[in-house]
Amino acid sequence: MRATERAEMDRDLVEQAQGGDREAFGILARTRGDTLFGIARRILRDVGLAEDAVQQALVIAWRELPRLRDPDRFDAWLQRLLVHACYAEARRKRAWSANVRVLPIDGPTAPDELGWLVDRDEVERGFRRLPPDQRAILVLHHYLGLGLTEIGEVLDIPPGTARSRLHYAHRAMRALLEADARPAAAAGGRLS
Amino acid sequence: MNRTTDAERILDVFLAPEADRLPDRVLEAALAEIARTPQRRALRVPWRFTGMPVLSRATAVAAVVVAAVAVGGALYLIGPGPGPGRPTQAPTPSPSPSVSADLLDVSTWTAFTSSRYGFSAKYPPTFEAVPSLQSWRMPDTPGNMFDGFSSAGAVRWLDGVSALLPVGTTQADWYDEYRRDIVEDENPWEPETCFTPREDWESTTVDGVAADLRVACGAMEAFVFVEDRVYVFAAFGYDSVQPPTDEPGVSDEVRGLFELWLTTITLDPAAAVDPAPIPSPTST
Repeated sequence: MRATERAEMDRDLVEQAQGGDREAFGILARTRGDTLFGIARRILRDVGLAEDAVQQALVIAWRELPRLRDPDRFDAWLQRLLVHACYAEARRKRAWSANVRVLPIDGPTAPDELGWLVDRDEVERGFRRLPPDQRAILVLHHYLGLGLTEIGEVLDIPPGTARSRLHYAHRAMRALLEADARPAAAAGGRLS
Repeated sequence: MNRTTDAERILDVFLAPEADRLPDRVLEAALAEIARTPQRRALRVPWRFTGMPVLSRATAVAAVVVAAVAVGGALYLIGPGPGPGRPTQAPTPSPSPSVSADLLDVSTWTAFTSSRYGFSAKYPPTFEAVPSLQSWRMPDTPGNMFDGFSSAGAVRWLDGVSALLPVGTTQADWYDEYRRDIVEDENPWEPETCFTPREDWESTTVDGVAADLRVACGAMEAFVFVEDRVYVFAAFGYDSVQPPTDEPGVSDEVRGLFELWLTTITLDPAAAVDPAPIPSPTST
């Protein structure tokens, strides 16, 4: 199916769902569910919290859908709702960053490229120390591959702000990795 | 090795797409809850995508505040807060020579002509035009029926619509229906306390035509009847899903900009394009 045909079909589904068609919304939810889960799982670093966030975002999306002005922006809108649901889940679990059950990392099927760069646990620890908003912008950029304009749409910020927030998130992540690597470096770790 | 590149490369790999799969039970649980969840009514102020192509948000806020002060002058600074029953103050844009902001000179605003509703207006450089996508109808379920102007500043939204009055409908009838639509709907748009009685409304003019001015909760509306057409112009100081309070009243910024905006409006009912009437079953 061509992209334009898919976009038209999606628009029709969104408009039907805006008119109260739950079946149409169900199709939209099924086709977006995996991506939403991927986003939430990466932001929250917890499968259970991510499931809760996705469920919450879908219910809110259904409830608020008539208020979406432009059906073509459904995905950005849905992702915004999800990011906010992730923030809510993060707040709900106050001890989340320090006392969260470890996300099972299945690992990519290919040889772990990350292992050539840095210890995966170090990255996990560093990423968990980032506040949720910094995790979100990194996930939108590195997982979804969104540019600054699209990130701005999802987070409701101008592209320039997206740029600076992304910069600070990278900087924070780098600092955390470096801090974690210092003892390892002293012991012959991979980051130097 | 470049450390920035390192961090980004690490994140590229760390956050790389994998075979993420949302468990069916989660999706089914969501859909089960959705089956019990009613949809909310469309909000007139639509979900907004940020678009501030000219000035920053901070500049926008400052500019709107300056406009409000210029328009309202000392009235806003020393007078009582706005509210129902307040005497109408004819908006008189008179830029202070000490203020250089382009905002105060409406000639620097961008012209907009509605292709649907039979009016023209101007909007400040810090706003973005958001044309309607379909014609207004009551009850106003879709949120994309308004020719609007969106801002990330203190005043979030200005808009205008118009519609033909149904044959035989008086202004009083129309107001009654509008009120029912706003506050008595199954999913009301405003709390009932936000819709003040008609006798508390103010008077103003739009393009030389008498208009009624209603102060709602964080928003204002002006109603203009020209021939067989009703125009509704509005300003909203919020973009959340509900009014911020259930008490009528607007900030000085909302009132100031709204009154200034109304001075830019030109009515042209002959240019309005109305949707085709729905054929009656007996006409086919």
